[in-house]
Amino acid sequence: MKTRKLWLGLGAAALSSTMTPVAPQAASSATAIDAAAQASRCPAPARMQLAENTQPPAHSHGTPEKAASGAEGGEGGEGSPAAADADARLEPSLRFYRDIQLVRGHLLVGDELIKAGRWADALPHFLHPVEELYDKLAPVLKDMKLKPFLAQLKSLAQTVKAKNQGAYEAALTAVEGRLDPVDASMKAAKKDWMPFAVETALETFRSSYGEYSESIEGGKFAKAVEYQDSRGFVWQAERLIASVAGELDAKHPEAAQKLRAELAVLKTAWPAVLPPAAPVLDASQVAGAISKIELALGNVK
Amino acid sequence: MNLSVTASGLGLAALAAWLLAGALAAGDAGQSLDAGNAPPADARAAFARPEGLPAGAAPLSPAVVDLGRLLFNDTRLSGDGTLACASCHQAQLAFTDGQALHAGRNGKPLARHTPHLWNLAWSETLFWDGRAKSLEAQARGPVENPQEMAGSMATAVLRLKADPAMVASFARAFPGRTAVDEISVTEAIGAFERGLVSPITRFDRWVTGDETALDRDEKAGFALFTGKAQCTACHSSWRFTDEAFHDIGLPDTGDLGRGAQLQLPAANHGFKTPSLRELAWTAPYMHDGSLPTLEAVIEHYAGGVARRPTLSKDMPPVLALTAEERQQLVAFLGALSSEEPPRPPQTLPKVELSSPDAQTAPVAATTISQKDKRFTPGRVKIAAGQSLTIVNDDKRTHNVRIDDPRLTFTSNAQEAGDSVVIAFPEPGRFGIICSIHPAMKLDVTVERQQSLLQHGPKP
Ligand code: HEC
Ligand code: HEC
Repeated sequence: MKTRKLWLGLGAAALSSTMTPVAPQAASSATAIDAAAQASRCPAPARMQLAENTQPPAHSHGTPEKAASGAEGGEGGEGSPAAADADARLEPSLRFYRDIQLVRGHLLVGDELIKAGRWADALPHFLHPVEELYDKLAPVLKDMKLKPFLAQLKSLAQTVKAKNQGAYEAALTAVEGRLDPVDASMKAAKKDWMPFAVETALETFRSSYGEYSESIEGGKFAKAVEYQDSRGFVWQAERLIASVAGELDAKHPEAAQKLRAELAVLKTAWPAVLPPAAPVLDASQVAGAISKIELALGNVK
Repeated sequence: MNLSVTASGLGLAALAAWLLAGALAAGDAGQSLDAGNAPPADARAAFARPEGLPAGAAPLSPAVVDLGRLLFNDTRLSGDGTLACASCHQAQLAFTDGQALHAGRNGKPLARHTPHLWNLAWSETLFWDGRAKSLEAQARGPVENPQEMAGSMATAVLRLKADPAMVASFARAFPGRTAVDEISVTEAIGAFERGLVSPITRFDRWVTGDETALDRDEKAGFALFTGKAQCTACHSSWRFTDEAFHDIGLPDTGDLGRGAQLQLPAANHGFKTPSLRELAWTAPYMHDGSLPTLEAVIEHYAGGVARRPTLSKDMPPVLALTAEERQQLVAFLGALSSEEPPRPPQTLPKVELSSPDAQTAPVAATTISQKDKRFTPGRVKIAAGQSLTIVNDDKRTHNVRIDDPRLTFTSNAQEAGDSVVIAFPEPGRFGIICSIHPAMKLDVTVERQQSLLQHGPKP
């Protein structure tokens, strides 16, 4: 326990050199891309919390060359007083791709619930992408000349309402058929894919923390949906990192090894898809574990 | 491009003129649709929704429809009490099951894909091969099909009769009838299904003049659909179906469709043209459920068509579509669907007062044309003892048929150029259809000899 608290301190300090800066006050931004990728509800608390000790940082290592959407401009000057809130300040393509991970994370944990026969519990995870995330994705998809997938997401949610296994599988395949080209297109747009994927995974971990802390009230899991969201996000972030593991291992063997160890610790917070009777890790411990991961990956280029 | 074929239905001349203008102007469907160059109102009018259910349908009573809904969801209709109609036609899935082929009782997939049930009040025939002529007749099919509900209507009625709540529902729905019976069961289910009219879509708003209802790609898709891609050769009218049976060149799985049903090899591989409304909610597609997405459907039309002798003559010889055009067609098809999962209307649809056809008086004629999937004239009178000569001056294969206890007749495959001669010895009124294109209807009034003499019909 004590050591973990120590980690949190360490991680938070380390953040200052590895993370994009954070400005807590939200202000709406004018460009289309910003409108497209406004702060998601889920990740905001994560950023706030993790950023508490942050100083105006050095330039983030992960800042991509160019917004994948091709929209010019992007954010205003870093650290400028007019900066948007924490989430809106993320580099637009990073924010977009993080949101794609959140969609996938929802589907991942929803699928786990369905495999456990818990259709009703799964439903919110299939509605959430439509209700919370898609509006921000739509204009970016259009800019990137990628196919929309709103109808596919809605159809998928219908199959879950109908508790229809065969239809569900077909509809999930249809959604994945739309998400896979997003990955391909992002890869094509990024010169340095591996660091970008890692940076996206980190953002996804941060979103997970926001959900996790919301799920606990009075030392207990009060909101199973948020617990599951946070699990889905972590599992998805892990998948994203696994997809670049080859390059990561080759270029940063030490970081990769550390990451695996820290991730194993972090994942103990979610022993199963249904919340345990009492939290295995409390919210600050989860934050600490995420900070350690950030620290491990801090120099990945 | 054969415009007279693509531009079927209402507003034919105007549509043709517009298409031609578009083709001449740009040769690019997308460009011909920029603001200020919208299709004329007539082109859209061909797809205007009707005011209500087809004239002649029995008005829907709320009590009957409610009973129908109960029965539709009632597992007692199946032999072992596990399946309802709604098990395969799930309301949340736009009355389909979201699967290529539903598993039958024996665990093997059923022969055909479960269709959605929207707008069937307008359907001339039911099932992919058209083997049922009314919703009431259809309803018996799944109940007694050993691979589906594996029950019997008689048993179902016994079970329902034993349930006082059901007996009360039947009494409310059919106050004049004393008992729960098979007829009432099928009538109520039929009434419920007639009430399933699909919601107004963005396309409908565009048809009625809202220019902003469709975006540029969707409008370009409409131009392709009605023009270059020739989809309206079969997907015509507000429901986007000609009610006919076509072989569209899907891979042969041994299902002969309409051909087997009619025992008519010329109609082999022919399946009913499906309506294209609400398809965003009804994947996968085709009678065999073989195409998972609308993109896959377009891929099929633009390159995947199996060329064989039974291939519909309404299929274009080749269809070359660019990636952009494919995407525009898909976008257009999307606009024919509700934005949210479609639900049955809150208020029951009314029945239209009259159909335009019913008003035209029969003309004296003994030779009938079949051009453009239409008997012309559509209402004739002849004298008893005379014959009608039905000339296939169309490019399609037809099959002339009379199902009447006084006179039954069926031609073989009537190829282009073939004529069929039918003698009418007795007076009376007879309906002739083409069983490959059941929307083709010919109404024949056979009068007693004397009354027609003044018209001087040919002997
Ligand atoms: C086991 C799944 C299953 C059940 C249960 C089932 N259906 Fe179907 N339904 C199908 C399939 C498959 C078809 C297509 C069969 C064909 O065309 O040969 C179909 C076709 C239909 C059609 C024709 C639609 C059209 O466009 O032509 C109607 C109407 C219909 N069903 C209504 C019902 C009703 C009413 C019930 C309950 C009495 C019912 N179904 C029960 C699977 C099912
Ligand atoms: C020759 C007549 C004909 C033409 C031309 C035609 N279709 Fe079809 N369409 C059909 C028939 C018949 C089916 C069902 C075939 C089957 O299942 O075997 C069908 C099926 C479809 C379906 C699947 C519907 C469902 O519910 O399963 C779509 C979508 C479709 N057509 C779109 C189009 C488009 C777009 C075009 C123009 C590129 C087009 N069709 C041209 C006759 C036609």
